[in-house]
Amino acid sequence: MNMLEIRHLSKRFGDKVVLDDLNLVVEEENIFGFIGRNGAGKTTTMKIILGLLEADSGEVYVCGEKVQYGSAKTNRLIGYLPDVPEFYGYMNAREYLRLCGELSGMDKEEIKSRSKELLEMVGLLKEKGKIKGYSRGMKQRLGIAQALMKHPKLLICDEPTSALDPLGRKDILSILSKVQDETSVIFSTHILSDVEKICRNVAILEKGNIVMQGNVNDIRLRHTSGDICIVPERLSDLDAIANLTGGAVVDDKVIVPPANSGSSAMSAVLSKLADSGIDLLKIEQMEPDLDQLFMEVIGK
Amino acid sequence: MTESKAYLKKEWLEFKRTHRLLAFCILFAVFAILGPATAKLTPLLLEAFQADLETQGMQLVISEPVAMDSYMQFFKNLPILLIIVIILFSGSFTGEFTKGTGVLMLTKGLSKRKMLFTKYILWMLTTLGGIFLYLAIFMGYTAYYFKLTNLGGFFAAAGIYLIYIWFWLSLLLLMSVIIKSAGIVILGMGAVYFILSLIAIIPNAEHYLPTGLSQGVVFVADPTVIKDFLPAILITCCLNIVLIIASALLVPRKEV
Amino acid sequence: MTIDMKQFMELLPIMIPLIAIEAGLLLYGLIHVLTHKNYKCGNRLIWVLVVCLFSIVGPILYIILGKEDSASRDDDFE
Repeated sequence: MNMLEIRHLSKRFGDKVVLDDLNLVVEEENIFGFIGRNGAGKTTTMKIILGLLEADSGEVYVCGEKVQYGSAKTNRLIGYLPDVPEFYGYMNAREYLRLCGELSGMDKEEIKSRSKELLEMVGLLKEKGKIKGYSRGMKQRLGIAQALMKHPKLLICDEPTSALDPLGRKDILSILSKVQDETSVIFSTHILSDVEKICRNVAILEKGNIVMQGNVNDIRLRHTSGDICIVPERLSDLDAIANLTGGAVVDDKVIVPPANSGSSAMSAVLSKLADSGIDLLKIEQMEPDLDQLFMEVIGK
Repeated sequence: MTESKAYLKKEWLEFKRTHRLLAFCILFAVFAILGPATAKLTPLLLEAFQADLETQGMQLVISEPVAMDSYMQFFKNLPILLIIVIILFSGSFTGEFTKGTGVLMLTKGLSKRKMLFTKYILWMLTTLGGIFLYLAIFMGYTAYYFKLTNLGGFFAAAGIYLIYIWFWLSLLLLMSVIIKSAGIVILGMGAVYFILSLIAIIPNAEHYLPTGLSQGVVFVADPTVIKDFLPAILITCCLNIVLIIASALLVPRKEV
Repeated sequence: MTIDMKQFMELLPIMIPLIAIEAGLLLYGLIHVLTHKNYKCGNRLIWVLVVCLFSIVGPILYIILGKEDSASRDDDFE
């Protein structure tokens, strides 16, 4: 079943078109990355999915149920973590989770056991103080706990790692990958290394439209076959290698661009070098990274 | 229903933990004591000036204070308490959106309408509680110091004043929906008060205005005046219902 | 102004609670201001003046607007 289906979604604020006929289908899966620059329309899309914002046209379905603006019906299926979650500072984590549980109609015992389980998972079980004393990272972790309180089918996280330092980011990513066993996760980000670490599928949003969607590895392979990097043992061999393979000398290595080497790039280069008697230190197929791919896709 | 109940519990906790309960109790109690105290002390203070004034050739007739003087203080202090109540609640609904705490509640299945009206119920109940505390302490001291008179008129006037308070709380409801920040909510309430005062310049207009209900001690002295203000009572009740319905219709459009 | 003993005794029941509330709030507010460094807004001097100069209302203003209940944590991870 499709966890999320977005059809022909459009939204403008005044003259500014934020979403332009956006179509997206997310199947039941582990972690789905929703990538886009700041202002690409990620938060707007998420707010429409949650029924917090009204779309100009188009429909959104969560688990087959249509989302209606102003109605919170589909929200029982979704857990939501805003980019900077704000809590009632005068409560402690346990009280806040109890409020969340009561709002979703859970009974007392269930709330108790679920709170304990979630607080343990996000590492706040021993935290007794009021939320107003929490750091950003702690708030973000509590944010995940509150979003998961009612066992949602879908967890939507809006830039969960953007405001955090590297340590806090690592915490959040590891919690998210723990969570994927019980729920599907969609998380938006502009930090591509985070996506590479935990996502299987991604969609790239640019100018209000999905410009690319698919498996992270597939996209990587399909899009740029990547350069081959050759490092000889003696620097004097650099020019000879460049001549043989049609590559270019860059510093102390030769880079063979994919266009020159064709489809069976690596084997072609190897066979050319095999008889030359040049000793090599290293020969390697360079993987295109997501940053490079991202730039390419959005045309920068 | 479950959502509203859970949210009401949260609101009550907030009322306690942000020290608003404490402020309510102290302020209502202090003003309740101040009323009879002022009524009792004023003649004593005037006595002190009496000699001075008489040398300047002025005559001062000091009468023994009575319950009516105390009642007058009761209604004089109520607007101050009302303003404090409104200031304390002005950011209650808008704050959920300006601070962003409300978003998480909305995504838990609580509708904006339920959120708003749960708050409204808390405002009404806590204000009513405060007024009762005020009334109880006030009556205790007034009965101790003075011979209680005009009780019927006093309770009628107090009842009419409650409708007046209800009007301001209903106006706060609508203002909270259509205005984004707490400060501007207070300004908006002030603007409405200013406009009502302007209209009240027209002779007899106050017989039809919500502000006419704040006469207080006038009603105590002569309860027959109340019937002139029946239109004001009716109009205010209707206005309150209009304010409530308008808020209920507009609140789903409130921007998150 | 002269108040005789009878009048004084008569006024006692109304003055005691007022003075008790006022003194209680003043003491609590002043001690809290002086033993805490961080406030939601304003600084120590402002709050000492507010608490001392405005009886009853001053300390309540401080409790609602100035008092920071628990020490705010820096943005670190435990």
